[in-house]
Amino acid sequence: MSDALLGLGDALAPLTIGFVILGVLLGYVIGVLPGLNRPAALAIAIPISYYLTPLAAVAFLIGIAKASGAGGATTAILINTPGEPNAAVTCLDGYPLARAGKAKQALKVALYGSVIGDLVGTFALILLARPLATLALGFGPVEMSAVMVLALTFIAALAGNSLLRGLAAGAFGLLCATVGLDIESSTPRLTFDQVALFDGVPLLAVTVGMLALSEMIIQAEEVFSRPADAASAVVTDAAGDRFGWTEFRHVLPTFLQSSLVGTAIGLLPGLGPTVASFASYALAKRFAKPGEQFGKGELKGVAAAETADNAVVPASFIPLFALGLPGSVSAAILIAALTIHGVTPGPRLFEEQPRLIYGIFGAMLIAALVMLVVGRIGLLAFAQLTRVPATIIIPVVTMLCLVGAYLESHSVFAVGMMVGFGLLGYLMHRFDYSRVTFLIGFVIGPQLELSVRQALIITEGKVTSLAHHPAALTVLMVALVAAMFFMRTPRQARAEGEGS
Amino acid sequence: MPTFAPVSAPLSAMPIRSAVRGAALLAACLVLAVPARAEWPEKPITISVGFAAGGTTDVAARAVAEVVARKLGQPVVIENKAGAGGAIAATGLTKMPADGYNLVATTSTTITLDPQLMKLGYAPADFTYVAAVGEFPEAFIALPKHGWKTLNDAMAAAKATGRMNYASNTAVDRMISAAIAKKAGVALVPVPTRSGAEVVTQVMGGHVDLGYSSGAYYPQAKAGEIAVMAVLGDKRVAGLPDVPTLKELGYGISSVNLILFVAPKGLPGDVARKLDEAFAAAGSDPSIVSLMEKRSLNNFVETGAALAKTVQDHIDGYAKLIESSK
Repeated sequence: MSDALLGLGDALAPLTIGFVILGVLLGYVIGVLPGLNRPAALAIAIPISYYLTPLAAVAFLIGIAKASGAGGATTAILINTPGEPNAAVTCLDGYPLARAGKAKQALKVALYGSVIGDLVGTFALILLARPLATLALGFGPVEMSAVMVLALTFIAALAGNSLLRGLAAGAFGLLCATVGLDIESSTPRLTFDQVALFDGVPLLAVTVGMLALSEMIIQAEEVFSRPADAASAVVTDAAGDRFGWTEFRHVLPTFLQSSLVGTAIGLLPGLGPTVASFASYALAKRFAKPGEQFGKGELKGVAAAETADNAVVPASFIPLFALGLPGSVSAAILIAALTIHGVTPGPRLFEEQPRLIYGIFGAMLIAALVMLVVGRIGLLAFAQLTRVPATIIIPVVTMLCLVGAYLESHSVFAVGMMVGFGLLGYLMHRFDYSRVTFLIGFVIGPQLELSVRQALIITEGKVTSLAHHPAALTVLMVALVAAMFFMRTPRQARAEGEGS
Repeated sequence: MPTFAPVSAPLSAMPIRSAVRGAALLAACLVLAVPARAEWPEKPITISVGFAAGGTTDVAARAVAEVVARKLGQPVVIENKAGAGGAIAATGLTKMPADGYNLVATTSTTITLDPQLMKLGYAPADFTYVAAVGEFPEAFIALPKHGWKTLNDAMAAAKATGRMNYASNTAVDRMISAAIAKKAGVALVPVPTRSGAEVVTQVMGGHVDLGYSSGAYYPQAKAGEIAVMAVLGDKRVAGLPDVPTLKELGYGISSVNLILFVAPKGLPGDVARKLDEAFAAAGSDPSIVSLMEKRSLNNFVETGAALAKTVQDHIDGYAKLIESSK
């Protein structure tokens, strides 16, 4: 117990709190800016963290990892341009809310959802790390394959106006995900002798191009086609733009449900925040009550997406702290930050460094609090973004996209890819092919392929061996039912909210 | 994102402000000193790391860069050019001038093995070999509950069904396992994974029988949650003195993966000599020795001509291995 108190004391030291605040600020800014995202922020931060104490380094990195998720919602809601790929679903309801003059309401739901999701994930980490990690270890390739099949059904749930076109876009996403070296034989696939494509199409180029740049092209087209009333299209400060007790009660069930979805997904390596926000949104939409119009500005839609993706970050640390195994990119980076200081995360970390662990837990809780404060202040400032004319936003965001794509790999090739996907995204929008389902296919493709191929080798290709994997069987049943449900749901007109 | 390794600051928690002040002072001195004699190095040196920030290669390269910067009196800039197992950084280097200001840090198999397996934009002859600092503790691992002491026990167990699977991570381990399987008269089936950490996770979850890991297994092995069946190098791993090498177990093969620093070919002799000296000094620096220990790297330091010979030996060894695993 004394270690716990000492650790929490360390977390409250001014230096630690200072680096939490610094991390949250940096993360928030990176999250807000489309084009710059978490990998870029962490790439900047890791070398800096080499010169800090272990706790300050971890606090700094945790602040960045957490806040970049929360900040990503801001531009998604205000200008339909997600700052982070996982905020792509936030656009679906967030932007219609902003158009209806309820920008502040949407931003508040996103912020409170982020903080609640983060806290649930963090408490799961603090209280249940060992049993949850053991549970996660039991999820082998066969179970993961089943989970990925379930994830595929989200395509049907989020297909937009036309199921067929939604599926086509999703399949195209899966195809793009096959580019790169084959995982078994290292044979280059669809790389056209470009070494830069050996690791696949760069994720950042795809997401920034598809989501941010293409949106800028769409908005530029709007400005040119009707310059006079482009500015007046947005209503600011509508009467109903507040978030009080009534609204909170309305979205509370979604907050809780999405926190659990996010925690569960964070626990399993290889899924990540983007899949979590898709899953949580699909679920919330599926269980919508009469009168709730998902895709047209439903608060629960924003809540579902933002809560789940923020629960993922702390939950993905569970295998790290319990077993010393990193379950996500952020977790792998924490390992690096710890080892540089001579602390080896491993199964005995709890016995060897209890004080440090409790310090980290303390820093995580402080980060949630700081996120709330920074977000609450930032919200007032950012809400003014809706007043900035598109003629200023479009060039600024376009430049950020170009810079972000370059920063990730220091290559012009990635910039070219990003621009290409931007144009492709614009064409898809024009012909009503969902960019969101494309993204689902692209994001889950690599893990789907890996898990299925692993499972086929392990089971020697025998379908009957599924009988030894009851969990996988259950998930597959759920996927089947979900697919039927999703396809039967009448899709609301313009459900995708790709603002036009 | 390029970052500077300060010329003087130690790796420990030196207060940032004084580090910055120190670096600024030093920079000022350098500016004054440089115009007097135009001798290499007269400007900062860039090392492109072939892997992402935070990985073993990156961490080692940054630590080495700091000592090298101190020895040469110029800052050393680290840039991460991750991708394709170091091939992106290596390809980029072939287009750089051989002036000693551009180096690449990557794993030795990026150069000794990968060009033999696929079409890449470089060949081993495109580089001047500056230094190798640290050897990865590559190993085959399993769950302790099987009761296998060495890889021979595991192969004996595999005889029962004639087949055993293992979590695979690289082309090297697929060739090595093919050679082992041939010798043991069983089928060793690789299950592909994307990272060393995933290998350890799959083994610990009991989803695969064996796993190949280049170092991620080490903390778990120390804690007794993972049993190490054999190490792949020519020598045993310092931290695991009881684990035999593949050669000791009678398989007659080995694989050594080093952290390698290379320059473009045709590096001027005096520049190469200065680099060799600086890296050799870095290799014996206490900060680097303790880092290798912490990262469970074998203490391996070689420079210049000796290294060039080692690299050629590795290339020949892999060529033989490729031939025998066909």
